[in-house]
Amino acid sequence: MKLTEDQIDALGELFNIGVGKGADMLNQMLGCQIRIRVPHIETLTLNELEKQAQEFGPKEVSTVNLSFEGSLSGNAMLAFPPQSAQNLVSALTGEEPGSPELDSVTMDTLSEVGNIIINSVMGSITNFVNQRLDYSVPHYAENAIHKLVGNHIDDPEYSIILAKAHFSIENLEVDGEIILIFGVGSLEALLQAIEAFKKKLESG
Amino acid sequence: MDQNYVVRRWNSCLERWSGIPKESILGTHLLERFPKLKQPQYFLRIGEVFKGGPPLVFSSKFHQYLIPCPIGKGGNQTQQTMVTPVYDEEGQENYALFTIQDVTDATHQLANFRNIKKNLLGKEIELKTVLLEVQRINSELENFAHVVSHDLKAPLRGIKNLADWILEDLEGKITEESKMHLERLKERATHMHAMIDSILHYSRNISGELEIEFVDTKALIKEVIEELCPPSSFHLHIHPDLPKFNTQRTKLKQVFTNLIDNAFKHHDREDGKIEIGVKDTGDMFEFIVKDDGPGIEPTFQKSIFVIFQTISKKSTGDSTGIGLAITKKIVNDNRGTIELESSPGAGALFRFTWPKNIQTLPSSDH
Repeated sequence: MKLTEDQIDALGELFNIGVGKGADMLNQMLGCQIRIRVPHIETLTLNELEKQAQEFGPKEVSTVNLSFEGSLSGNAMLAFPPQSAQNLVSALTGEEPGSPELDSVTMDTLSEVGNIIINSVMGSITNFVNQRLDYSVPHYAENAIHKLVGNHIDDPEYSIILAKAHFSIENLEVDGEIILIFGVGSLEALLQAIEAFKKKLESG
Repeated sequence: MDQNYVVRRWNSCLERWSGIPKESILGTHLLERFPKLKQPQYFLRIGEVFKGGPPLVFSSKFHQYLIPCPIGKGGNQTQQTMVTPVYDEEGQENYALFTIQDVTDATHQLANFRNIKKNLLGKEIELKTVLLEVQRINSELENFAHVVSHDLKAPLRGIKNLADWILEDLEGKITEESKMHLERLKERATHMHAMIDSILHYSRNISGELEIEFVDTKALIKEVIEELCPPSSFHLHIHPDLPKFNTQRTKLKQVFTNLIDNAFKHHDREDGKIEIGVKDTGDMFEFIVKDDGPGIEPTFQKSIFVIFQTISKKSTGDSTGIGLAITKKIVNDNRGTIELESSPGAGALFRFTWPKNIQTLPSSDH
């Protein structure tokens, strides 16, 4: 089952609402002026994701992962390409880019930043899912994106939604990319959520 | 904690860490006990957990702690906290479970690591500056030695030629004494020429990295002896177990050449004996070059490694007092030591150490 253009637009809007809320929370917490936008999203297969992953450059990326089960089941992953991870972490922590100790705070910092963004995106989607979801403990991992996604795939119906988000911290003149990968076991529940969201938009 | 922020569980670990007994906190309002959690970055996020949102991560990097747990010296633990939603069996009551990890030690270790690194970086910059300065001075010295030797050798050659021409011009017209004086003038000029060459040689030995090669020490010593051409009446004893190892061949050869040449040159008998041996001392080889020549007076022993100090009574011009100075320089540059054991009439024994593994200085090119 593929998403129509309308549905993709609506889902993109849900993602934008989510990352926007996440950015607001980060700004409140850290006193920075971070902005995150998701210009567009796309659905793709694991093979297509593998090809896309090569564009991200080095093989390993830092990711924050959250699995969920219930009427909507799957995995949400926020991946930070190495340069963006370094820029973001050094901007938020004041560590010098390229310093070895940046590695040791990367996991700590990205775990929370990723957690805030993923939770906000999940929140904006699950607002339109009737049933409560069960979540795994969020975890941080470094590996090739397609391998990390592949770990969660045991279902031929599995659909991958890829959102390349752009972040910028205005007062620090730092920007970069964040990749949000949303894998779901079945699109059905997600489609219901999208329809509910569209209805809400239509009703104003 | 339940959705009214009332504390429902408080385990013994948290009792110990926080110093707050279970009895005094159960049933109380968490936000009243810890007002910091009323701040929006905590309150709003924790609120999402009660609405069925995903677990929360509070990293030690952004929040030193959520629940203050005093440690010595008036500080508090550094904590990593996760807040997870928990539901009762009927799914009616929502709770938030705080899982707290004490990461104080890891944080201190990181801070210590940073201090050490900062100090080391400072030292490294200092060393690099010194190294660059030393390399600059060496290069200047080599240039200087080159220019000086070239400029001084030209007039010396002139003096020698002029002495020859005076001798030719005045053939049969000057006294034997004057002729001898002119001959001495030529000899001194030749000796000075040799000294100037030595300055150049010494300066070249200060600088420059050499390639590391596989060296068969026994074969190397045989090569040295062949080049030095000692009288056939000399007895040479070379230790059979001389090592084969990777090292700076040219430098090691220079050391053996200088020491063996020294033994030949200063020997007072045609049937002298020279012995070359080795001892393994762990990280280093200890080589010896021993002769049964006239030996060295104790008063001269300290100065023989100093440049231009020669105890030779000959003034033939080939003994400039540079050989042992270069030898000591090469050995010391390779983390080795050199020493002399000698007494008048009992020969001389030079003992030097040479590393089994050569460590080269880092290049300043990058």
